Amino acid sequence: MRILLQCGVIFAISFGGECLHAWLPLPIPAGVYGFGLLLAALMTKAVKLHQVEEVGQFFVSLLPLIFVPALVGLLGSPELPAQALLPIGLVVVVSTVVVMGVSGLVTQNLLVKRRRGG
Amino acid sequence: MSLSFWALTATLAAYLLAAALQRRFSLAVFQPILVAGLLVMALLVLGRIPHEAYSQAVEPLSRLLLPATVCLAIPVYKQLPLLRAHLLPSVAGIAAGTVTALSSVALVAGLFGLDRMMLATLLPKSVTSAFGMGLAAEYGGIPSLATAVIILSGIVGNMTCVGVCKALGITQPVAVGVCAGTAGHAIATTKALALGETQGAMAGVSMVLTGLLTTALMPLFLLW
Repeated sequence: MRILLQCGVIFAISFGGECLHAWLPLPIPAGVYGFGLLLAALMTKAVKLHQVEEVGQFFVSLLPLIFVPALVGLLGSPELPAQALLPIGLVVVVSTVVVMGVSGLVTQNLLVKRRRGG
Repeated sequence: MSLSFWALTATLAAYLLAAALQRRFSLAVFQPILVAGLLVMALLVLGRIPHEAYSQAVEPLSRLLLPATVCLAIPVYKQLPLLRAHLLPSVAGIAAGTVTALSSVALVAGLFGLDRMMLATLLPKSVTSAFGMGLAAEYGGIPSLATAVIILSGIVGNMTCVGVCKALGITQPVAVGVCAGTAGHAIATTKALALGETQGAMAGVSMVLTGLLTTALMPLFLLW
């Protein structure tokens, strides 16, 4: 029963996310709405952790598996022109390393500054 | 009624095999999602199976993307005390990283004259695929290519985060977590988890906050 109840809560919130996505004219995916709904419900204790936890963790652990068919969908998408490969490579390698440096340095400096009482 | 469970079986078998390969060789490039995807693609191509048949048969699994994304709220909720304890430094770092990611993609797209479809595909590249696929679709990008770019970025993040942190003197566990999660989502988070509990937890929270911030900021970068 407990597991079914957890499924019910999660599916209901997912449906809520779908409804918001259908009704609100914002470019926000249903998953982001649903994420916000569940986080808000947990924070306000409208939903308790034990009412979603086991099934929730199972679903989260499924995520990598769900991305496999998404990747296989590449077979059906239009062929990439060769000149798109260089910009994609730059985005994947250079941009990722720069983002790491920027985010890490900003956090590190603010942490150190605060520790010094500055 | 046609046969359908071969697709779910093949997907799971490919994933478990890929995960076993990674345990055996423990190399970041052996990312199970990537290896499993290539294995399934090879199966379809060699078996002359149309990919539409596969995606139709595997649809029940794909449908779980929504509840699985919703459930990311659970680990985030559990880590809220950690986030609250370092709220300003971590949110500032995540925001700076997100703006850097979006503007660097816009810059590359501008330099190479990429079209709007390509820009919408590449902008969510630092975000977890759970959010990124939906974002790419929302703006007319290609979700499957977005997933590929996201996974490759995660692999780069996983492989370089320790080196980047060392080179730049990023030593605080919270900062290391922010750096891995903001740039390399779940794939770099596994590396952060190996470095320590705080690093891993912070990376997980950062990955989700990066997704939310990207959702909020992406429209600004598509108006150009």
